[in-house]
Amino acid sequence: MIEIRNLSFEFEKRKILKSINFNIEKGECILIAGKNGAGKTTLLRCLSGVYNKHGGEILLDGKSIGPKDRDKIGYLPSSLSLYDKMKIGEAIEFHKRVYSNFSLIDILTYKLEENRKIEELSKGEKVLFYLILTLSHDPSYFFIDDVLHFLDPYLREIFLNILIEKMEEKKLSIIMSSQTFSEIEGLPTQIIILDRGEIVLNENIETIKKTYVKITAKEIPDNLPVVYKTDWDSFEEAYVYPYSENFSGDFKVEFLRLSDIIKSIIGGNYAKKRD
Amino acid sequence: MLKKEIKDTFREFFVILSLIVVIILLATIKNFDFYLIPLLELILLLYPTFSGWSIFSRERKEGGFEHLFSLPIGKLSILLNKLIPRLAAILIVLGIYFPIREFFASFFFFERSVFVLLYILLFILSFSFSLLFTSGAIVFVSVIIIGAILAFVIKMLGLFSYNFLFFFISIPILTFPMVFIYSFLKDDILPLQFFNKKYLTRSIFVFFVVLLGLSIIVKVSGFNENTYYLLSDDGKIIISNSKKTMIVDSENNKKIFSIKKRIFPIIVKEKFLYGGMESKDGAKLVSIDLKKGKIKILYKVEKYYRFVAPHVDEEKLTFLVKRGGENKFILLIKKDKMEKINCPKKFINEDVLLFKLISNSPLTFVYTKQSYKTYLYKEGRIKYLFKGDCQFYKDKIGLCDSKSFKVFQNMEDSNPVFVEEGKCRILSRWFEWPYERRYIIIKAKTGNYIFDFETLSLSEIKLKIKKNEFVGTGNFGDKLIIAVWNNNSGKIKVLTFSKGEFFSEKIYSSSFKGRRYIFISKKGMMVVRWMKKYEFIKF
Repeated sequence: MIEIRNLSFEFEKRKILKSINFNIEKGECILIAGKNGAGKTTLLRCLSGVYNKHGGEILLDGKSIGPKDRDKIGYLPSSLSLYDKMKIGEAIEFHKRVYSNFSLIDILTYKLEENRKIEELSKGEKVLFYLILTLSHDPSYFFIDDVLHFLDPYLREIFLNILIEKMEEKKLSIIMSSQTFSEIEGLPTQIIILDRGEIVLNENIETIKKTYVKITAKEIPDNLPVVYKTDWDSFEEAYVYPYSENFSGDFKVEFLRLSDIIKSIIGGNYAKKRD
Repeated sequence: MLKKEIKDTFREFFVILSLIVVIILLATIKNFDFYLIPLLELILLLYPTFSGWSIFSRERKEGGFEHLFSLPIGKLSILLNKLIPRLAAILIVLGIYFPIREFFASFFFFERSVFVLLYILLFILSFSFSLLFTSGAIVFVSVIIIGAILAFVIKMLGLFSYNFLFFFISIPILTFPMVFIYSFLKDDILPLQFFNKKYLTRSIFVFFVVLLGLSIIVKVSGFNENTYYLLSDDGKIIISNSKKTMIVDSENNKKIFSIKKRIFPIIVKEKFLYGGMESKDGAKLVSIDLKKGKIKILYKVEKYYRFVAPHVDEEKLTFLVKRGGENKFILLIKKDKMEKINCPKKFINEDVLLFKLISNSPLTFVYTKQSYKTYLYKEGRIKYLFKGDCQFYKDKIGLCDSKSFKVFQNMEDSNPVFVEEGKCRILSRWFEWPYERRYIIIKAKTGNYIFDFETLSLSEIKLKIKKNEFVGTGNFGDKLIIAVWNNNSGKIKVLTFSKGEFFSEKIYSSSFKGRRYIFISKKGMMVVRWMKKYEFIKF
C-alpha cells in the first residue's frame, strides 16, 4: 500500500500541492482529475521520485520511499521523456540493467523493431513502447500522467486492456491523471479531484456515481446540497452532491456518467466554494 | 547506466583522439608545427570543457530528465555513473598530452602546470555549469570571460600576487562543484530554470564568502607576502618583502641597511647588492653597498618595466630589461658607466631565463629560454645550441641534459670541448641566476661528480643523496661547499672541496624540519623555511 500523508510542494514560494492525503491499495486504480495547473503532474512526479523536495510523507508498505523502492514503481510521464536518440533495442538493454526484475512483455498487436530510434516513433507508438518498457519490470504501482490523448481509439483500447489485464492478474495499482474520461469509465475504482493543489473530492467511483446527480425542477429546493446551479427561462438545473434518496420534492433526478460528473465539479461551485 | 555513459564518453573520446592524431601527423609531416601545436593546445582545452558540459547534455537535448530521476537509482549514483567515465577519459587525454608536449615543447603556449590547472579547472567548471548552459561553447567562452574578469578584479584589488593566482583559482575549483553537487543532491532538478536560479545564487554567494574569508586569512596571516632572501658570499643576509628591504650582518646580527620599500634582490657582486626598487613612477635599478649600507640609483625605467636575467662577469654587469612579455633593452654596467642596447627585433619576443652577453659590438649573446633551450644570437642571426640545464663560466658554457654533459669553450663554436655521456643532471641549486661559478655538481648515471671549468676535469665525489635530502652549494674561488640536509632529522652534512679534491666534512644541525631552502656563504649557511623564517648556522 502507498500512503500519502500531508504531501505539500512549492516552487518559488508558490504552493503547488497543499496537504494531500490518500492511500492506494493493491489492485486499485485512482483517477486524478482537475483543471490545468491543479497539481496533477506535480503529484505524480512526487510519487515517482522526480521531485524529492516535498513536505509530508510518501510511505510504501509503511516505510518512506527511497530510490531502490522505485524498482516496484512504473512511471509514464506525459513528456514521454526517454533518450530520443536511443534505439528501441538499446532502451530495452538499458532498462534491463537498471531494473532488477526486467523481462520484456509481449504485446501481440504491437511489434517492436529494435533498430528504430525512439525519435522515429509516433507519439502513440512511443506511449505504447513506454508502457511495454514500464510494465516489463513488473511494477506493483503504476503512475500514468495524461497520455491517453496521444493514442488513436484503436491503440487506446489496447492500452486500457493491458492495464485492466495487469490489474486483474498482478493486482497492479494505478494512479492516473487524464483529461479524457469517457473511454476509461470502467477502469478507476476511486476518483480524486484536485483544485489549486488541494483535494476537493476523494470518492469511490461507485459511490460518486450514485450520489452525484443532476436535478431539474421549476424551482430547486433550498435544502439540497447544490454544487452548481443554472437558471433557465422556465426551469432550474442543479448538480447535487451528496444526493440521498431521502430528498423529496417535485424534481427530476438524472444519474450522470463519470465524465459529466468530473466536468461539473471542475467547472462548478464545488471548487469555487473552497477558494 | 554506467555502460551507457561509457559509450557516450567513448564517442567524445574517439573524436578528440582522432583530432590529436591528425594534428600531430600534419605537424610532423608538413612542418606546420608552429601553427598546429597551439591549435592542438586549444583543442585539448576544449575537450574537458565539452566533456564536463556533456554530462547532462543528452538529458537536456533529448528531454530525459523526468525518466532519469524516476529510475531506481539514487542521485549520487547517477552523478558518479556520469562523472567517472568522463574523468577517466580526460585523465587519459592529459596523459597523452605530456609526451606530445615533451616533443613539441617550444611551440606550446601555456606552461605545463598552467595548462594542467586550466584543463582541470575547465572540466570542473563546465561540469558545474552543465545544467546551466545549453551549449558547451557558451560554457567555454563564459569560463574564460569570468576568469579574465575575476583575475582583473583580483589584480586591481591587489589581493593576490601572481603565485597566489593559483591559490585564487582553487576557490572556484572548490566552491562551484561542491555547491553543484550539494544542489544536485538536495534540490529538485526540474524545472531546470528554478534549479539553475537557486544553484547560481547559492554558488555565487558561497564563492564570494569563501573568497572574502580566504582573502582575510591570507592578508592577516601574511601567506601572500613574497619574501625574498639572499646571502652574500661574505655572510650578509638580504631580506625583502613588499613593506621593507633589510640587510643584516650574520656575524653580529646587526642591521646594516633598511628601507621601507621593496627592492627585489637580483645579484650580489663585489660587495654590492644590485636590485630592482619598486616605486610609483617606475622601477629603479639600485646598488647597495653591503659594507656601508648606502643606496645608489643606477638606472630609472618607466612604469611597467622590470629588470630580469642578469649576467655577471669580471668586467661588467648585464641586465635584460623587459616590459610585459617583451625584451626591451639590455643594460650594461661597466664601472658606474652605463650603456643601453636596444633589443634586436628578432629577440624581442623570446622568453629568456638565462642571459650572457659575449660582446656588445657586434652584439653577441647566449640565452636560455624557459623551455631550457639555449641559443646564440649574433649579428641578427639566432642559432640553436642545445637543450638542457646550463651554467656559464667566463667564456665557457656547461650544458647538461638527461643524456650528456657538454662544455663549449667558445660559445660561437658548436663543437664541445668536453663531453660526458650518460644520464646527467646538474644538482639542484637554489639560486638560478647565471653566476660565474667555477664548479658544477653533476649527477650522472655512474655517480656524482664535480666538474671544474678551469681545468675541464670531472672528478667523482662520494656523495649519496637520499629521497628526503636536499642539496645546496656554495662556490667561492677554488673552494666548493656542498650541504646535504636531511628533512627528517634537520641534520646538515657539509662537505668542502678544494680544487676539486675532498677537503673536509662536518655535521651541523638546524632547528627547522621539512622542506627548506639553503644558502651558503664563506661564513655559514642560512636555511629558510617556507620563505618566512630563517636561521643562520655559522661554520
